[in-house]
Amino acid sequence: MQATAQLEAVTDPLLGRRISFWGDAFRRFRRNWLAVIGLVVVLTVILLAVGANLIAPQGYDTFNGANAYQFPSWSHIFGTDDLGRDEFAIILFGARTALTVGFVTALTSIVIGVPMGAVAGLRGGSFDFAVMRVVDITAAYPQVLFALFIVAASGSSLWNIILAIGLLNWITLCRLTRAQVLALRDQEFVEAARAMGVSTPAIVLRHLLPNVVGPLLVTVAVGIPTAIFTEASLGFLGLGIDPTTPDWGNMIANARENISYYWYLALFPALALAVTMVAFNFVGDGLRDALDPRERR
Amino acid sequence: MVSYLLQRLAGLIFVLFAISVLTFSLMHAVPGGPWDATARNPLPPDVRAALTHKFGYDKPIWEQYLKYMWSAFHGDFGVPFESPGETVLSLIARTWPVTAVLGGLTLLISLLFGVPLGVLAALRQNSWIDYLVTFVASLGFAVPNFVLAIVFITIISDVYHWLPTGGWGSPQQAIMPIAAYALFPMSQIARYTRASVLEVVHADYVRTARAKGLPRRSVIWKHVLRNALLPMVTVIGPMIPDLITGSIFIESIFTIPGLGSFFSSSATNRDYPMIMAVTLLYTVLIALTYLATDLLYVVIDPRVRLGGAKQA
Repeated sequence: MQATAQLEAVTDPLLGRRISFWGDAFRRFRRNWLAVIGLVVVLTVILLAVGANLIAPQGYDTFNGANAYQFPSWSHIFGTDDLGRDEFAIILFGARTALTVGFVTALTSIVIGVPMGAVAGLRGGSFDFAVMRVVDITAAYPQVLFALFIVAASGSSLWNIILAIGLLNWITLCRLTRAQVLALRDQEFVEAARAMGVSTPAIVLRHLLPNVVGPLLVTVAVGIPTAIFTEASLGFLGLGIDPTTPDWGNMIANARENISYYWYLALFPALALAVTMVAFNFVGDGLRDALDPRERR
Repeated sequence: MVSYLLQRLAGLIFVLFAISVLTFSLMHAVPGGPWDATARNPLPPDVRAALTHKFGYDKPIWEQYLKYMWSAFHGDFGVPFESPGETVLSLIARTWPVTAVLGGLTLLISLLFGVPLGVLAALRQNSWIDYLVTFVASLGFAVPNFVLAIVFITIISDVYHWLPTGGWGSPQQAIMPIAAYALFPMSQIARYTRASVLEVVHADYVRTARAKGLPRRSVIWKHVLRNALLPMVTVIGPMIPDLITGSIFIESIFTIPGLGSFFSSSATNRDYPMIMAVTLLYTVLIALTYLATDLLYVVIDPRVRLGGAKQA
């Protein structure tokens, strides 16, 4: 009953087999080698971040003044910083920070944005009006300034940064969900469900949201690297997470002063940031192509 | 048309009002003030109290807000604490043109490269040039401009000494900031152009045009590009306010005396008049750009009608 044109299973003209929408999407994602490479890199970064304390048991805060400013060598493959800390270890633990920001803000934007958008689209009226005005205001607000206010008011801990980014990022998902619900709510299959006495929450959960999952997934996949980027930029401006937390943006900012000599201190965290963002974007692009119903074959 | 415009303007004024209230209350709610004692600038408590009184910061917040808005309506946006020798307006008039020129040139360069690359990639879909453009565009989309700027300075200035590391005024000083700044919008434009052209290339009317014997070149110019580049207006429009209010990162790395740095410095210094000014400026630009984009779309695409009026 929840089928619409794009989620319906189609019959393969050659093999006569039924191919589900998700099966087809998976097949197309697998054939896109850039997306597969991106996914492998993303999974690797996740593994490295989770296993950071196994790979670098000394941690990111083992100071050793005698060891400061060592160029990359076999014992310190990315060299050591001004306090003699192993650069590779800080990058590993920095991956935890970056991924936490990326995934938690993705989660908060789903938790806030999707219900707001769904209810606004379904109920319309004054609730819809109010939500859309909040979205307008949030969209027109300078993001960096807002993050600065939050950090200035409540301190520069990891969770405050996440709060600052999360409070702004939900609007994309809210707009998207609302637009999709508006487009779907008057279609026959929804009317049929309503006529059969299905309750409104059940209609949303069983009939509307499954049709929105594709575009939502793409938006989330693109939102994760964007949040990681915002967090690193705040760190780069010296307004991000406090310096005791390992963070790529802070590392790049600290390395700027002596960049012409100790170039590796800026290069490796910058590479870590760039590689992670590129990988997430490849996965997002792959998902977009795979979930586009117009490209079904 | 007129009622649609009025409706949009009313929306604009509402957003401006809401953001001014929000910013005003947020910046006063945040602990700390413009005269906090710092190592560089220790102020005795009684002087601070006197200053607070002089600027009216001891009054109730709503009274301060009304007073600010009243002055703002009369063109008085106050004096920036970060640069007390001038007014907020003259500071913006001095720094914004630099930022706007940087942003404008960046937009121009991104369009000049992004659009042809996107068209080329789409017309030669799945060829090496398509893969190259897609790959470079993905990189440009994902590599932060401050990372790029650092790499440029390290290699081009520090190692080879081809270009100056920063400053503003000569063409040589503009090359690296614009290149670092333009890669992201260029990638975005190239990606959207490619997708848009691909969509049109497979349309029935293009097949019809080819089938009735029109040469490929004229089909591409008259049918494909015209229809494919229209939607690009909606992509490029929203880029403009960000580009011309300036990248904080590019300006700080290349020491360009623009407006961008005031977005962060005004907040860290609790420079209340400057916070309000840059926020309102940014908001007005965003709102106007969106309005202009929508209107422009109606002008160039006869299929679109305003206000949701359905055509038969």
